[in-house]
Amino acid sequence: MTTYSQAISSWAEHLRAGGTTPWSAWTSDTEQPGAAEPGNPSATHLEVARRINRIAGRPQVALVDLVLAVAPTGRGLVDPPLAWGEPSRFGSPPVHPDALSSEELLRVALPVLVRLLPLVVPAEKYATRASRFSSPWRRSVRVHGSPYAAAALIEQLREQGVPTSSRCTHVVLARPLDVMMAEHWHMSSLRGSPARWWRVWRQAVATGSLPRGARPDRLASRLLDSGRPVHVVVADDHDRLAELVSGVVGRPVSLPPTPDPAETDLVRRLNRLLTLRTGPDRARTLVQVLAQQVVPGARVSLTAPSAPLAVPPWARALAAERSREMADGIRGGGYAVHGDPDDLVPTDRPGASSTVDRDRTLELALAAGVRAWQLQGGTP
Amino acid sequence: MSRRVFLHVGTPKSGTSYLQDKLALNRGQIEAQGLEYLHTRTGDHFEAALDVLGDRWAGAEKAARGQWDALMLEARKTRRDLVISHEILAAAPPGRVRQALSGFADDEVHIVVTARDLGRQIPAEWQERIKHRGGRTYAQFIRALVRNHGRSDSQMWFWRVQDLPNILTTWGTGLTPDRLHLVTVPPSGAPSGDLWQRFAGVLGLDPAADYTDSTSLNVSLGGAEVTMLRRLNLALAERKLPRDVYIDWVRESIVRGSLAGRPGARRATVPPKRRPWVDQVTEGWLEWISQLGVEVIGDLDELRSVWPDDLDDWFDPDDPDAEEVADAAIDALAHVLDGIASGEAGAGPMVTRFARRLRG
Amino acid sequence: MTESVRRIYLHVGAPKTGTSFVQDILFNHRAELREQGILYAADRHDAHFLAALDLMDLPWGGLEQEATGAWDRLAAEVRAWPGTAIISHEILGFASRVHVERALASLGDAEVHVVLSARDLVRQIPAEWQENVKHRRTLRYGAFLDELRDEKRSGDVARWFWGVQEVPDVLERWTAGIPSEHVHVVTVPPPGSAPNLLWERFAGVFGLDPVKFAPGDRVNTSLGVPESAMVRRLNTRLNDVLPNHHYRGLVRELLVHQNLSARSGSPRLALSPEAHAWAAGLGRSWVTELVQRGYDVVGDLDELLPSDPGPFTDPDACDEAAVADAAIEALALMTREAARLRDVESELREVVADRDREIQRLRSTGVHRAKERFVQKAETSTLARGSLAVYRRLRGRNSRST
Repeated sequence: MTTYSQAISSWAEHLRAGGTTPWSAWTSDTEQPGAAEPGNPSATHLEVARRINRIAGRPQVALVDLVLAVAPTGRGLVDPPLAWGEPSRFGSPPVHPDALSSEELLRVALPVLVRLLPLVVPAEKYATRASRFSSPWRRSVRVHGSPYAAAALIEQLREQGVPTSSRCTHVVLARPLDVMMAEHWHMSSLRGSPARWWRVWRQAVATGSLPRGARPDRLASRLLDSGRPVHVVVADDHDRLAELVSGVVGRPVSLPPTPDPAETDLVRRLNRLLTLRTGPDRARTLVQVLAQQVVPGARVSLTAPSAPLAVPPWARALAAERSREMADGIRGGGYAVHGDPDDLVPTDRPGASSTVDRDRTLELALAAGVRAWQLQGGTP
Repeated sequence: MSRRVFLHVGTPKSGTSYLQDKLALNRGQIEAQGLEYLHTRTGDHFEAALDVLGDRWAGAEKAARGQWDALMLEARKTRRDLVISHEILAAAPPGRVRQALSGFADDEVHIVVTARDLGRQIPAEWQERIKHRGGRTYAQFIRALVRNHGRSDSQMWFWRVQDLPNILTTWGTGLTPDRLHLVTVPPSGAPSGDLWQRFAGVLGLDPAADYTDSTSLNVSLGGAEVTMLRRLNLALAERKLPRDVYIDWVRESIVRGSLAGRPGARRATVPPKRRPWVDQVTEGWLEWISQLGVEVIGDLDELRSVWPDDLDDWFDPDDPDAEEVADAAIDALAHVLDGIASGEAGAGPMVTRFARRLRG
Repeated sequence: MTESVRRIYLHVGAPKTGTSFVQDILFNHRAELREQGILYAADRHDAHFLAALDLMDLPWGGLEQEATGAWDRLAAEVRAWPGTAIISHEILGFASRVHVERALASLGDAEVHVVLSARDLVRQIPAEWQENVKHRRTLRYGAFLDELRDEKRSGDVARWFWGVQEVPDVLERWTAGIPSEHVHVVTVPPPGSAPNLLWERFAGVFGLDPVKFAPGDRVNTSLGVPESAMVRRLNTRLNDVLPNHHYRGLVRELLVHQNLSARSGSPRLALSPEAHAWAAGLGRSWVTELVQRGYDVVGDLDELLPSDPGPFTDPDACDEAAVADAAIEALALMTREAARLRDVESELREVVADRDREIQRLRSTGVHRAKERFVQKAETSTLARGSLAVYRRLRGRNSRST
C-alpha cells in the first residue's frame, strides 16, 4: 500500500536518476489510498523533469533538482498534484502529467532557461568582427529589406571586408510578404518585443500599414533619392535569393532560411520573463546568447520541424492586396529589379499554419534548457 | 450684349454640394467655356449667401457681413458669364433678394433651382437638423412640418428652403418664366453624373466635356444612428460644447468616421399616414409650376415621391431596435476613444512628451 | 527597555475584499506609521504590486519592466526594519509553494503573520467578472461562470480566479510552518454594516489606531448590469486599437470609475438562482474547513456564508435600451474629454511660448556662454512651473490602477 507522498517521492527519485517512465506507467500497479495532496513538486515540475531526461539521454541529477525547485511563471494552475485515486479537497485539480498542455509545461520550462542563460559564457564575438583585410577598392554595398535575411547578409559582407561607404550600391531584399512579416516578427522579438504572430498582423490590419522591413517598394524608392544605384532582389526561396544577390554584388553569398517560428515564439515569451528577472538591457543580451549559442546545438534533439507560418485568415485579404500593390510598385519603380516581383504575393505553403504550434515551442525550450546546461558546464 | 448670370439658389439636400464641388474642381474647364464660378476667400459662396439672408448662424454671420458685396466686386472684374451657387439662398426674404439682384441690373439673370421629391427631402432634412445639434424627434419634426405648411408667417427652416413655389416667386419676381430653371434630381439609384449633365446643360456648358469628378459625398445615416445622434445631442446640451469641437468630434469623427459606415442601417421614410398629405402638397406645387411655365430640366414626375412597400412594417426611426442604438453608440465610443488616444484631441505627442519629462 | 519584536504582516488577498482601500490608507499614512514603528515600505502606491509581480515571475501587460528586483528591494527594507512591517497585495494569493518559500526565506527570522481578507463567493464571483470587464476582457458572464464551474479548471479565467480566491487553498499555500494563531482571516462585513467596520478589523490585526488613521470616503467602483454589458462590448471593439495606458486612463479611470459607477438605478450584478446554489454550497464547505483549521478569525466566519439569492439580471441578455443609455452617456462624456484635452494642449503651447521668450531674452543679452546655465535653468523651471499645473490636470484622472 502506497500513499500519495510515497508514490510521488519514488517517482521523483526515478526522475533524478534519469528515468523517463511516465507517471501513468509508474503508478499503474500501486494501490491508491487517501487523497492527492497539493504540494511540492507539482505535476508540472515533475513532467518537465521527465521530458528533460528524455532529451538529455543520461542522468542529470543537478539539472533535475534545478527543474524541481524552479518557480513557475505566468498564469495557470497553481501547484497541480498528480492524478491519484481521490482528488484533493481544495486547490488545483489533480492532472495526468502527460495530458498537461504545452502552455502549462512552458510555465516551468521557461524559468529553467532563465536560470541557465546567464550562466552561459557569451562566445567571443569573432563572428561579428569585420575582416582584417578591408578592401577599399571593392564596390561598396548597403543591404536593406527583409529584416532577417538582410541582417545575415550584412554580417556576411562585413566578414568579407566589403565596404559600406555612402558611395555604394543599395541592395533591397524582398521575399514573399508572409516571409518578410515572419522575419520582422523574429527580429523585433530579438529586440525585446513580446508580441505574438497574430498581434503583428492585427496591428497591420488595424493601422492599414505594414512594418518598414516588409515594405521593399517604399525602401527602394526612398533609396533612389540618394542618387546611388538601387537593386531590388525578389525571390520566394532563400537559395534563389542568394543566387540573385550574388549576381548583384559580384561575389558568392548564402542566405538563411526563414527563421523557425518555434524559436521566435520562444524568444518572445522569454522577453517578458527575462526583463522581469534581469531588466530589459540584459534581457536583450541573453536572447542573443540563446539565439546564437544555445538554439543551434539544441536543434539536433528536436523530433519534428515547425510548420511554416501562414498569414492569419482575417489578414489574408490585406496581405494579398498589399503584396500585389508592392509588386506593381516595384515593377514600375525605376530601379533595377532582379527576380519576379510576383513572388511577393504569399502562396499556400504545404503544412503552413497561422498559429504557432506550442508543442514545438515547448520542445525547443526543453532542448535549449539541456543545451544551456551543457554549455555552462553541467556535464564534462 | 449683356452677359448671363446664373444664380443657383437651392434647394438643400438636392445634390448642391456635389454640384458646387464639381464647379470648384473644374474652374479651368468651365472658364474655357466662358463661364466663371466666382472665387471667394473660402472657396464657396456660403458667406455671401448668408450675407444675403441676414440670419444668425452660430456666429458665422459676423464674418459674412459684406461678403455679398465682395462677391459683386469679384463679378465686376470679369466679362464672362457667372454662376453663383448656394442652397441657403432659397431662404432669403423678398426684400433682400431684390437688393441682392440690384447689382445685376445690366445682366441677364437666370435662377436655377435643383429639387428632389419631398419623400426623400423630409427625412434628409430631419437628419441634417440632427447633425447640426438638433434635438427634435422625427415625429415632432413632421408634426411641425404639417403645422407650418402654407403659413405665410412661418419661419420654419424646412419650408423656407424647400417650398418650390415660394422660392421661385421670391427669386423670379420680375423675370420671365424662361429665365427660371427647375432641375429635378434623378430617382435614387441613378448615377450622380446624371444630375451634373442636367445642371451643366442649364449653364450652357458642354455636358460631354471632360470634367473632374467630385468625390464629396453627403453621408446618409440609418434611422437608429440618427436617433443615437439626437440623444447624444441632448446629452451634450447640458453643458455647452464649443462649436469647433462639435464639428471635429461629432460631425466628423462620430458621424463620418463611425456612424456613416455601419452596415445594415435602415433609412427613415415618411410615415405612411403622412404620405397622402405629402402627395397633396406635391401635386399643388406641380400644378403651380406647370402653369407658370418655368423651364423644367429632367421630369416633373420625378418630384412625385415614390413610396416603399412598407405599410405593414414601417420603420419608425424614433423607436429603433435598442440593440442597434446601443451598438451604434458603442462603435462611436470606440472610435472617439481611438481618436483621443491617437492625439486627435490635440493632447497628442506634445502633452505625452511633457508628461514623460515631468514624471522624470 | 523592551526588546522589540520584528513582526511582518503579509496581507495576501483576496482581490475585491477592500484590499486597495487598505493599501491606500497605509500608503497615505506611511510617514506617521513609521514614527510609530510600523513600516509600509512603498515609494509609489503600486510598489507592493510590482514586488508581487517580481516575486511570482508574473509578466503583467508591460508593467514587468518596472518590477525588476522589486521584491528583493522590499524584502531588504523589511529585513532592516526593527519593528512591525506590513506587505499587502491581493495578487500574492496566486503564489505557488515555491514562491512562498522564496518570499518567507527573503524576510529573515521575523515573526510572520499571514492575513487574508475574505468575502462570500456569491459576492466575489460577480465582482470578479466586472473586474475582468474593466481589464479589457470580452468574455460574457455566462461563459465566465461556465469556466469557473469547470472542475478541471481548463480556462485561464478559472485558473486565475481559483488561484487567488479559493480561501482554504490560498491559506494552505501561504501558511506552511506558520502557527495558526498567526494566520488571520478578516471577513468582509455584509452590506449595510457600519462603513468603517472593515477598516476597524484590519486596523485591529495590524495593531493600528483605527480612529487616528481613519479612511476617507470609499468610492464605489462597481458597475450596474447594463453598464458592465456596455463596457464588455466596448472592449471587443477596442482591443486591437487602444494602447493599454490609454485604456487605463480613459476607460477604466475616467469612464468606469469616475462616471459609470456613479450611475444609480441600474440593477446590480448577482448570480442566477442556479449558480447561486452552486456557489453557496461551495462557500459552506470552505467555512466548514476554516472552522477546523483554527485560524484567528477577525469578524465572523458566518459572514462568509452566502446570503439568499436576490433578483438576477443577466448581463448577456439585458435591457438594450439601458445599454444604449449608458453608451450614449459615455459618448457624450468622451466628446467633452476631447474638448478638455484640446484646452490642455493650448495651455501647454502657451507655456512653451513663455519658455521660449524667456530663453530668447537671456540669449539676447549677449554673454552667451556665461548665461548658458541660466538658460538651461529657465528651460526647466518655466516648464516645471507652467506645465506641472497642466500636467496635473491631465494626469489627475489618469492614476494608475492595476
